[in-house]
Amino acid sequence: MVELVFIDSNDQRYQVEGEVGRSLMEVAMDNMVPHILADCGGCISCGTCRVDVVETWQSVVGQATASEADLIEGLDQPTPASRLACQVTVTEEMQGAEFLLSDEFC
Amino acid sequence: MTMAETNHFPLGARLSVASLSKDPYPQLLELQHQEPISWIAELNMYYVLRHSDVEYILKDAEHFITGTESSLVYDTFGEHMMTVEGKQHQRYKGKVRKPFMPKFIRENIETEITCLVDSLIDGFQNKGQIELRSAFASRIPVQTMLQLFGLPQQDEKYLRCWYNDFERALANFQWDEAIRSKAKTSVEEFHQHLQQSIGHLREHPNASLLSSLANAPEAERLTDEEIRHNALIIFFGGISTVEALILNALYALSTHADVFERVRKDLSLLPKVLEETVRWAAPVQSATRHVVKDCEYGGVKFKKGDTVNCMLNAANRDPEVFSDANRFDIDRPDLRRHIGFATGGHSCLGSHLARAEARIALERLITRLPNCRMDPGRASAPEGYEFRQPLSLQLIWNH
Repeated sequence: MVELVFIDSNDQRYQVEGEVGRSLMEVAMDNMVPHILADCGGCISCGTCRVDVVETWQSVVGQATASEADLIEGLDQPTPASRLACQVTVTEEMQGAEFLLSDEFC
Repeated sequence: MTMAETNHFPLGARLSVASLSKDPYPQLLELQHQEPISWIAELNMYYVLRHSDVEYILKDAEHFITGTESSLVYDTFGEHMMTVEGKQHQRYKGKVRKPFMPKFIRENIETEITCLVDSLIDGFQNKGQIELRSAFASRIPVQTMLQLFGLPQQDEKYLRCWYNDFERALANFQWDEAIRSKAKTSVEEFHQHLQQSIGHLREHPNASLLSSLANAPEAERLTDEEIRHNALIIFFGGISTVEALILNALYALSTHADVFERVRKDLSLLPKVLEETVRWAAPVQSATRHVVKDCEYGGVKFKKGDTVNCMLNAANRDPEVFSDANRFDIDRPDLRRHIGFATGGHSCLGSHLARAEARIALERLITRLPNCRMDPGRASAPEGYEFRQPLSLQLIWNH
């Protein structure tokens, strides 16, 4: 298990424990983190699990894949740090990683 | 399917589909327990009833898809975002997604919905009672869709007529030829009407979804045919689902007085009420898929061409997922685990708009009509095989 932190636009922090190997979206849903809706359940179809990776963690988490990036492009104010949480697999290296939540889905 | 194979599903072989319209839950939950994937002889299709199995199949677009010639939605509407997969699906959905996102709805559409809702309530506020379906619930989604598409509100009467034909066609599991033919005529009329509007919006652009599609830069623009086909499925998807959500929520509240009392005192509970309504009294009962590649799942060998109906209603009352699943309970911790808006690549594009419309409708009714509730002397429960809602709902209030 690793510790992961989700931060909303009001700087409210949601610290959760995530199982290595699960997707970041599943970890967020298990812990009822707000603003992660995951309507499509992880099919790269809805964009409602979008997060922005805090800069210091971007190299650990990695960049969006091509199909992920296509979808992210249509979301509100996408950035190079935007990811779909369903496409991020939790690893040991992510201990303490921080993710910004989008208020597009609040 | 051979007789020997049919014998594996004795409950499914006996199931009377007509009997599901009044109250599907006792039979479907028995089926879920004993034949979680069952062959329904009367409909010549499989039912999938467990939450986990429905989720699995709706996410497996390699084997189970919507867009084949044996699908009612393809037969009625042709190719659109729901009947394609992969890149073409993303291409269609990507062009129309923005106005269905919660932030966009909140910032750009909610005020207009509130005006539409208030204007309808103005028409009956002094009466003390109203048949809510015809005077209110059926009108809000049509008016909202017209607003979204940038079409004149005078079109409401045409759209309503066409819509009724579409709805019959989408529940036409017996493939009745007269129903198919009527729907195709209405689809053609809708296309002609929309094409005229596309032409008008090219000359007079506005902020609507249809205008943005019609006037997109040429390199990334959908063809007019693609715009019309996708507009039609959006329009279809956003009408009776919303109507049913409003009516089913009012039915649920009126038959659970303690919850209604809490909501009257705290309108911020409405989103919870709506999620639980979608779970407990789903407006749409199933999501149909078609097997495109032979496969085995859950001990059943599916053959290419088989029809598989994912029963959202039964999945949303699966006791493996929801404790005391037959109970309407807005405090359950896993409210959002329902799949009433489906899941997977074809999960409902308009679910957030539907939630916003229904929330505003209920907020304004409760705020403006003191102690409003369904008339207990003329109570009517949701009914229907595929689309489920009270056929009428008599609302009364103090005035």
